[in-house]
Amino acid sequence: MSAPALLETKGLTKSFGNVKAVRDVDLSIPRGSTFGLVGESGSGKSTVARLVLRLIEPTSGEIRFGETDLRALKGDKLRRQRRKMQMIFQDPFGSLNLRMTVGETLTEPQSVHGLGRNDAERRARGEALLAEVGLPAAAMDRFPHEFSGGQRQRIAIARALATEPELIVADEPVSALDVSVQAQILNLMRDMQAEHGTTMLFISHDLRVVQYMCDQIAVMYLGEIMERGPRHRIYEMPQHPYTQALLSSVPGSPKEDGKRAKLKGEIPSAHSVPSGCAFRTRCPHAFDRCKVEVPVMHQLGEGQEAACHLLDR
Amino acid sequence: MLRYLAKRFLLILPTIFVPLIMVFLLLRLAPGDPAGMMLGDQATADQLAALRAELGLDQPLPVQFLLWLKGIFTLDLGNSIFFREPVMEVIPRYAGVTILLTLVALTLAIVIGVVMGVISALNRNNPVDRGVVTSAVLGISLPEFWFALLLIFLFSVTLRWFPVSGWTPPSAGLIAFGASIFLPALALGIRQSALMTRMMRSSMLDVMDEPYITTARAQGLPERKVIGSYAMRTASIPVLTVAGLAAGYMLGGAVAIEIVFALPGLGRMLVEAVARRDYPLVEGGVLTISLVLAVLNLVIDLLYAVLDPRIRYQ
Repeated sequence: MSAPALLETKGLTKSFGNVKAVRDVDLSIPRGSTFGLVGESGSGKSTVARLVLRLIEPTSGEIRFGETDLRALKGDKLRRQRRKMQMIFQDPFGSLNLRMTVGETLTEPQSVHGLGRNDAERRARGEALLAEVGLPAAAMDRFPHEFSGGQRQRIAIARALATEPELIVADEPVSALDVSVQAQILNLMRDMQAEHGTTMLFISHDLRVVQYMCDQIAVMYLGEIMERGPRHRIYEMPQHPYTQALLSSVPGSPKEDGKRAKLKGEIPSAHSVPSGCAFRTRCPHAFDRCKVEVPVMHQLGEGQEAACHLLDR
Repeated sequence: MLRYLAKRFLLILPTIFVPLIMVFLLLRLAPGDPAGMMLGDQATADQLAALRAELGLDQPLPVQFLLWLKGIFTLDLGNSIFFREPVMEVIPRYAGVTILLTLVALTLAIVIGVVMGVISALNRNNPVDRGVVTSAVLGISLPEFWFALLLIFLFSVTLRWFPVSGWTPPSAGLIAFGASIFLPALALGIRQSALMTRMMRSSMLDVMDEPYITTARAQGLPERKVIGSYAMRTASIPVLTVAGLAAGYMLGGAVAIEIVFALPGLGRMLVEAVARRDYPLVEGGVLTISLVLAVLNLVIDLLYAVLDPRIRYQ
């Protein structure tokens, strides 16, 4: 790891009743990097996003933000910490308050966190943010419903930047958008990150999007991390059968050949996680040991790790 | 905005026209006539005919209606047969009581409904929520005249906090006025407040699940602001719709409450005027109630724009 981690989780676990949505997730996101979290829907990746932002309470585990123990923060201290960690959600329509003008949406987080000396200054910063995301200053006095999906996501990005956060958690930020607009928004997010040096936790089910955006990648399945590592290792030499299967299902990928590892069936319900390795019910290589023993992470060099019994051999 | 207001005021005319025709016809279809009521059993046919001619009751119905309509536009609603003075002078004496009663009841209902609904939603499925929901069901089920009697028994007879009945106008002091109107307004408003509680609760629960509420929290907005200005504002809109319906219901329901609490209001006046076949006074009373209801609904429509700035009237 080159830079010290800005966000770190250890043993992060979240149960809803007897459903374990997230189990023992360890993440370490170096300052200034983009970390990708991929998985099918139901893999628990959005729950991880909500956990690290402290929007829901973890069942157990640690979350550290720089030197701060996030789990120890409560009330007003937690509220003030939120200035440093903002988020962009999937649905740009639902996540904007439709009853507030864009100007109010962009100035409110500033005034809540005491940024800017007066309304005029906050408004000027709002206009600057709009310019940065490619919208005219005239947008300040309009309402979200007057904009297209892509424009609304630009507004959501501007709002996330309004408090000068150190971390942005983006949960499927482009999956609700048209493909042509997706590329624009992804480029915008890359530019933003280069400009502000923001650290980003980028969550998506789309492997191509993650490949384009992220330096480090973790693959989640049924609430657990199956494999993680630098982008080139994950895409060029995936070691976990699940990662291999995911990659080979990407249309037009080099792995999509005759012997492509197909994913059988659907992701099991989190109510009935299989014994042993969570992936064994859909794994083409599953053998007896997978049923009884949970695989441990194997270090594979350059920071790549995978949890699979096949790597013991 | 001004054009919108002007348009809405003009639209009030056709709105109140229908109840006016209905009341005009219903009164004349009912057995009994004012002349007979005034002169009593001993009157001769000649005397009756003379009085009927004097009151204009011998004219054909369409002529009577048109004459009355003309009167409305010249602000002359005729003379009350019983009081023997202009309807335009009788009605204000009674209308004030009913309008104040309705406004206070509506305010009480909205405040109770919104507050209880929010408390209930924020305590979803715990004992507080269950208690509120149970009381709301009880409130919806109670007939208000019965609730009025219970209130009188508890607060006036047993605890002696409020007067048993009667009316004190606001000019006699706000405290005395408040004491005389609180129980009637509560009795009139309780049912509607129960409906609003349920509406506010479910609407709050819907809104609290919206992604923009999560976003607002994630941005670090204080919870007070998330609930107060984000969630409650949106969730209040259906309650406002209920308030519009409630206003009409209360103006009608005021009759029973005015009788139980012996308030000199329009509702009680109307019941008595109908019994006396005082045609002009009944018509004037219905006209007044229709007008008040139409104006209240206009005010409520304008309030939508306050809660949701996307609504612009033109």
